[in-house]
Amino acid sequence: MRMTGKQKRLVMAITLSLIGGTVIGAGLERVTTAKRNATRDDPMTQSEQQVTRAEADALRAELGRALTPEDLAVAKTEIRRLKKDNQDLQELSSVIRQELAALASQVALVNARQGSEHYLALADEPERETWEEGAGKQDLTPEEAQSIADEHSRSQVELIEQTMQREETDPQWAEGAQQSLRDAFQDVELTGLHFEDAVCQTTLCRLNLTVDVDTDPGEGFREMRDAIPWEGTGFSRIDAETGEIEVYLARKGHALPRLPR
Amino acid sequence: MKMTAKTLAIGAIMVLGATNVVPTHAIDDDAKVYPGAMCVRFSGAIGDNTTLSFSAIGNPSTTATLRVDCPVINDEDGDGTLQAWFRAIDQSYTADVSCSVNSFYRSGSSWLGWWTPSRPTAGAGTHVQHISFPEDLGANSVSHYYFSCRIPPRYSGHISYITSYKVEED
Repeated sequence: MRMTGKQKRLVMAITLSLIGGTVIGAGLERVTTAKRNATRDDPMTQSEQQVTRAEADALRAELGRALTPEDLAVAKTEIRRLKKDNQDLQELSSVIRQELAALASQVALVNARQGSEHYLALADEPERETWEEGAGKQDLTPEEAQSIADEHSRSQVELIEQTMQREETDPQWAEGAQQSLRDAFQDVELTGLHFEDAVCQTTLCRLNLTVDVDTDPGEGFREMRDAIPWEGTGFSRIDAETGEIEVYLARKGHALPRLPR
Repeated sequence: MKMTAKTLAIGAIMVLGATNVVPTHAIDDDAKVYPGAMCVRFSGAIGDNTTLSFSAIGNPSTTATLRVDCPVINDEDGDGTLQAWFRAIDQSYTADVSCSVNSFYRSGSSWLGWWTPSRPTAGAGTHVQHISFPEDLGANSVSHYYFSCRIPPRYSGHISYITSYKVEED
């Protein structure tokens, strides 16, 4: 398998970033834990005071003398600085986590590219035509773009499905939501569209429908949209061959889990 | 080796710097306002099926709701939309102008896509109404965006319109 220079650089950058992110993540956790008690000005609990006293004893032992007011003033300044650092690091940690999630997604897309036989064949052609041209666009063939999009969607469906499986059920909401979806298809005469199942958890529902093969799936989708009394966002997969419609619905006020950029 | 906060911060900055090597999508916002005349009828109001006024699309039918899809350009490899809205003149006291935002693409034998709930105008009159979609919508580089809308029939001779719509890609 041959990789272009651009691909090699991409893979190397992702690897470096992932390693760096892991190290930083571990470091941040240690620092955050270690500082938790030392960086608070508010009244301490007894156990916190014990920890602080132990730390003061350790410092005294290290200095080989009793702590002076100057030592305490220096320590206070240091604590304030650490507190600020800690806050900055937490913000940075959040940014890094988002970056890492994005990188993980890009790794998946790179894998999708490499899995494409068509792409591998084309990779050896020095002057292949590009599908998207212009500044900032990647040189993708239609097949590559489709392959990436397919991988993205597979991952997207997996993400929603896994999120749903991890969610505990909010029985009060879930039962009502499931019932409203069932009722929506019983109350209205729909052409070629059939309700199969509805499952709701806490922030997500999955609705399964079928559309008759002689019905345009686009029309089936519109009918479904008109029928369901839903105020959240949705994600659908409509198989035009089998007529299966899988719909994920986010509870009002909640977002569908989405892959990062 | 003890890791100080400063060391960690420097390391983090290096990692963030390294990520800049990775070709990422354009991050500049991209917003476009489209005239209602871009919308394409797909059902309702057969015959004298649509009317344009200042490039706003209206439903001249006295009985049928006009249903239109209004295309939106997906001109970057973004994965979502931001600040979508449509503007409408709803002159019907019995039905609303309503739209949803959709992002779909075909994969093999399947259509896959994200969509917002349908949002209606509120009340009726000669004034323009601005209806926003705060949701982030998923997409990928082969998705196409569109608004899917309903325009009610004439009410006492008054026609309802979609004047314009906008999607800002993130």
